[in-house]
Formats: sequence, C-alpha cells, structure tokens
Amino acid sequence: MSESLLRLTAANLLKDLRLEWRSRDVFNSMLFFALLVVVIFSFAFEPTADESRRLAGGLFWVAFLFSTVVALNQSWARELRNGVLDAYRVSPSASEALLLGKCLSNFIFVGLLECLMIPLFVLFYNLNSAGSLWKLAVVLFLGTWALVVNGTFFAAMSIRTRNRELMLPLLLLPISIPAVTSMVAATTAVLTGESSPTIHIKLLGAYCVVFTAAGYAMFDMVLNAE
Amino acid sequence: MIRGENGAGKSTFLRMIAGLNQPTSGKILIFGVENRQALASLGYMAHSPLLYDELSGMENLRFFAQLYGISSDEPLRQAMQRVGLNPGLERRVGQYSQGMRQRLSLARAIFHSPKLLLLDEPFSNVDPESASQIAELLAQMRSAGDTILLVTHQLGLLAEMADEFLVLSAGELVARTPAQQARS
Amino acid sequence: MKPKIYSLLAVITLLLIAYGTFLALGNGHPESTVSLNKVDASRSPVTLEVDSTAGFAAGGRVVIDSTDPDARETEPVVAVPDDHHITVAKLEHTHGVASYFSVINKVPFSHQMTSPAPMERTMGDVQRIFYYHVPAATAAYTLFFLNFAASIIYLVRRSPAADRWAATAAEVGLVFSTVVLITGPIWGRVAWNTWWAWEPRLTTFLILWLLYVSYLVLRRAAEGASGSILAAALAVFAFLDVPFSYMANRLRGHHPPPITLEDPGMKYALMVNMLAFLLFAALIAWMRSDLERLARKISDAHIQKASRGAMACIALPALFVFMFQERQNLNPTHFMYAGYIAAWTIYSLYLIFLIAKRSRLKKEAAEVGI
Repeated sequence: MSESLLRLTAANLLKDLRLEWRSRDVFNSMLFFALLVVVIFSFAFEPTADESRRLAGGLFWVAFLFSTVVALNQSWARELRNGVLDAYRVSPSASEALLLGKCLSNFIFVGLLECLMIPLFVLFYNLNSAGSLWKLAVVLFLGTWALVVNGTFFAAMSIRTRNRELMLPLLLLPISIPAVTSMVAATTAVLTGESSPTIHIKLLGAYCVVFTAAGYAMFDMVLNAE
Repeated sequence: MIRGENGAGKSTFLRMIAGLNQPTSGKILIFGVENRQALASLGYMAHSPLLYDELSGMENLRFFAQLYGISSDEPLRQAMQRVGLNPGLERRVGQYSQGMRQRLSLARAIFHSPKLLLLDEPFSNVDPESASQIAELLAQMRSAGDTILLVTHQLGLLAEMADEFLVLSAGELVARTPAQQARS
Repeated sequence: MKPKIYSLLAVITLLLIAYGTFLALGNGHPESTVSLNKVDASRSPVTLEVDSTAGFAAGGRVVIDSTDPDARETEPVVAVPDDHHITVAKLEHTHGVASYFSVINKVPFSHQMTSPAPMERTMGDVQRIFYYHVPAATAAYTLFFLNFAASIIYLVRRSPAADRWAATAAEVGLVFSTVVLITGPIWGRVAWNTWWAWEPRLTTFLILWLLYVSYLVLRRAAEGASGSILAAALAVFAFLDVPFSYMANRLRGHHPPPITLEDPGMKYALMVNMLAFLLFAALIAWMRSDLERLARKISDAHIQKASRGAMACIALPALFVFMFQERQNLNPTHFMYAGYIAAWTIYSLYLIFLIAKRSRLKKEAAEVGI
C-alpha cells in the first residue's frame, strides 16, 4: 500500500469522523435501532441464563447486522447530498481510499456501538461467558470487519440503483450469510465453552481477507459505473 | 460557451468531459491525453455545490486539497479570496447563502489552478453582485491562458468575453460560431 | 440456417427428455441383491445364497461386490437353481468376511438401453426424483458458472454480448435451482424423514438461490451500462461466496449420507437425463438470450421479473406438502410423482413466461419496425 493511499485513507477517515461528530445522524439512529432489537428480542424470548448462552451469539449478530444496514445507508447518503461524490470522482485521487476510509469509519462506529451494547446484553440476558474473553474479542473484531467491509461496498453499489435504501439489505444479507454463520458459531462456541471456536475464527478471517480484497479490486469500477 | 435548451445534453456533455459519465462510443482527450488521466488539470463546478454542509469553507477546501495532493493552506486561502470569501469564516457551509455556496464551489474548482475549467450554470441562483464578481474572475483566468467551458442559458454576463459559442440540441452539436460572428 | 439448428436441437432435446423420463419413471426390476454368507475363492463353480434372484438368469454376468475395491469381480452365471441361489463359474477372492456383499446383475448394454432403471432397494420409487434433481443441479451450477465467467469477461472487455449472457445464465440458472430446491425436500421427506436438513450442499444451494434472486433484483433496479457493471461485480462476489457458505455449513455439523448409484441401469438413466437436461438448459438459455437481444434492440428494456415466476412455482408444490405431511406411512411413489410434477410445473411455467415474453417482444418489434 503506497504512502499516498494511506494519507488519503486517513483524510477520508478524519472527514467521516468529523462529519459524524457534527451531525451524529448515523450513530444515534444505529444506537437506538440496536437498543430496540435487543429489547424486543428479550421480550420475545425471555431466556434463562443457560439458554441465553446458546441464543446470545445469534441475537447479538442479528442485531448488529440490521443496525449496520441502517448505518451504512446513512454513511453514503451524506456523500450524495450536494453531489459531493462527483467532486471526489473528478479528482485524480485513488477511489480505493474512499472505500477504505469509509470502512474504517464505519468499523469505528459499529465497534463503538458494540462496546455500548455488550453491557446491555450481559444485563438483559444474564450472560457470563464460559470461554476466554480475548477469543470473544477476536470474534467481535473479525465479525464486525466482515459485516462492515461488505456492507460498505454494497451500500456504494445500492446508492447507484433506483430504490437505494431498499436495495442494501437485499444485496448484503445473502452475501453475508456465511459470515454470519461463522460469527454465530464462533460466539456460541466461546460463550458455552462446549467446542473450540478456532476453526470458525479461521474461516471468518479468510472471509474478511477475500472480501476485502474483492471490494478493493472492484470499487473503482462500481464507483465510476455511470 | 455552450448553449442549448433544457435537456439538450449540455450538462451530460460536461459530465462526460469530466469523466463522470461514459460516452456511448469513442474517447475523450484533454490536451492530448485521455480524460481519466488528465483529472489533475481539470476543475469542475456542477449544478449542486459539491460541498459538505457540516464543514466550514476552509475545512471543505482542505479535504478536497488532499485529494489533489496539496497540503499547504496558501493556495486555498488565495482561492477563497479570489472568489471574494473570507478564509477565516467559521460558519458551516449549511448556513451559507446561495451565492456564498456558489462562490465556494468555484473556489473548490480552481484552487489547484486547473488548465481546463468546466462550469455548469455558474450564475443560477446567484445575486447580481456575486455574478458580476464571478464573471470578472473568469475573465481574468481566461486572459491568463486557461481554457474555460461554460454551460449556461443566460447569455448576458459572459457574452462579451466568450471566444466561441457551441449550441447543442437533442444531444447534437447544431452550431459552432466564433464570437465576433455571433455578436454581429 | 440458425432456425434449423434451433428446431433440430429442440426436437433432439425433447426426444432425449422423453427417453430419459421413460428410463427414470418406468418400473424396472431390482437387479441387484445381497448375500449374507461368507464364500471362499474357488476355481470351480460356487453357489451364492442371495435375497432374491429376480432378474438374474443363467448366461448373464454378475458383479460381485466387496468392501475391498480390489476384490470386486465380474463372473459369468452358470445357473440359477431357485429363488435364493445363484451359481457362478468361479471366484477369484473371498467375499463376505466382515459383512454382507452385493451381487449386481451386469446386464448387456442393449438391455440397459431399453429397460427402465431398477427400483432402489431402501428408498423405493422416491429415489427416482434423482434423475431430475441431479441434472437440474448440474445445469444450475453450470449456468451460474457461466454467469460468473461472462461477468468477468464483461468487466474486462465491456462487451454487450457477455452482459447479455450473464443476465440470461443467472435467470435460467435460477429456474433450474428452483427445481433443485423443490425436488430435494420432497425426496428428503422420505429418505431423511424430514423436509429440510441443514446439510451443507442443500444449504449452499439455498444461499446460491438467494444470491441470484438478489442479482436479478439488482438488474431490475439499475438499468443501462451502470447496472451491468454493478451486476457483474455482484456476480463475482456471489461466486466467491459459495466456498465460504459450503465450509461454514459443513462446520455446523449435519451430514446426512450422500447417495451413490451402483446399479449400471441407474447410472445409465442418470446419464441420459443429465444429457437431456443439459441440452434443455442450453436450449432455454439460447432462447432467452435471443429474447434479451431483441428486447435490448427494441429499447433499453429491463430484465423481467424471473423471481416472481419462481415464487409462484413454490406455491404449487407446497400443496403437496399439506397433502402428505400428516401421513404415518409415506408412500415413496406419491413423493416421486410430486417431485416430477413440481419439476415440470416450474419448467413449463418458465417456458410459458418465455413464450409470452417472446410474443410481446415480437409485437413491440413490429411496432418499432425491426
């Protein structure tokens, strides 16, 4: 990765963080949405401590998958307002920096959201993990990246279509099924401590690498598809 | 100067030169190189201002400057002064007036001193004073040797300084007249 | 020239499908049997005790199976003394040391070509769904791969033909994978005793189906050159997704055993059907691609809703679900017919859709004057 790409990525990241800090429209809606999902799930299931270990992995990732969809639509919507994306496209800078910067900023938003929601999960579902916590952290890191990297790419794709907001989940959810399967399996394995999560983590890692590379390779084409 | 009725393809023509739309066939060369390679020497000002509402004027310019590999503030300050804006303005672009936005948008298009400037309706929604100021600036740039392609359906302000008039209709070039001829 | 090849191909395909269906649906004999007794290698004729001798006759040849692949042998039958014994000329190896072994009738090829595939011993008639299920799966995989290849070509060369083929392959592939997804559970209800198992191949196929529905939805939502580029990018992502979904589901750990066909009659029937349905797929894809070209010629006409048709197709076989669900003793033959009817319902609905689209486009073309 060249130095200029890194600098541009950093510029994009800083710009996104600054915009979000001033408007907070992504984070607030995402936070409230995730909160609603958690509350509704706990109303719907009322799990005991033992059951909740089994359920929590699935609930947790479904909640974040949906919140990510809300966030990602917003994060590209602000590039479309006033047509700023065109200003980016007429500049000589690498478009991949835009994708990487957005992936990173979205990763930060969703990661922050997770940090806020985990205590709530523990509270509502009486959770205590049987497995080691650092493994859970690895799963969280890779899982969030897997959601965000594909989500950012497909959000960039869906803003080019007619019914923008509707398209993102339709494109993102089928592609993400294998990642979600691995995340849930790994999280459940750590929480229940019944099996080793290593193989799921490896698969998730491979998924992240492959799809980051694919998104990176094809973003320029998608951005300039007009 | 490019003229034509609504829907004649003026904006699409500019967007194609800027590399935002792909031509159905053929290639676009700017100063002898393909347009996607010549982006650094190109300035583009669209209908919409192409600015972030949540950032101040300087912050906007600073971000876009990084896309052109410019890290010093000096050219940005100059650009703002040339369009008649105060570089120290703290206000966010969301609170700018229409005319100020349009000026900042022009500053965004010229801070990297492009050789070719593409302007899409620079005078729409602009108060007369800003308009004449912008026109004066464009006249300066023209005499400095830069090429300016301008799309408008208001002739008044710039008819005096244009070198050539192109008239588009339904996607076709229907007339290409040197300025003296057009005026007479 | 072209319409001639076209109709020739259509006739060949229809004949092959009819022949394949005859092989698949007819009631052939079970032409293999098992022996529970141990027999030693011998130079002189040996008599094997078997479950049944239906279909076996003196003068034929039998394959005597073994768990050890090297010990598998083919021997001539000298006599069939009664309903439970077969005498073979000699035995090279010892059989049945650890468990039972199969004795398979090696019928002459001419006999195989004219008689239907035998009934499977444990699953009965429902196994016959395989002759439609497996070729449809192969056709779907082939078409999805074609979609991927055409998308790559489009991304590199930007040729409109590649884009047209990508769109066609995805839509026709979706039709075939719908057949796979409906015939699969009908078979599974009898064979696995459940409609749906989260088995890796089945689940991968479901995900693949969802991916290509989203592909067609995207094609409808974004038109023109930009839509083609986006769709091509999505096709690459979908292709990359397949190994991951297979792995992820394998790790979840449900493995109903795969089915292998041993009987040569069954293999032959499968082969004929495979050829027939691959030709069928090629024919439909060709037809669809011609329509697509016509549609694009008329205007920037967008891709029709294939998914709507596919959804409607699910509703029909669902009726069978309610018919059979409460029964204690499942009749494999009923399930077999359900599978065949479901498959043909989908194929014919799609063909009707194509014909309707064709006549509409022809009318439009006449109006425009192409």
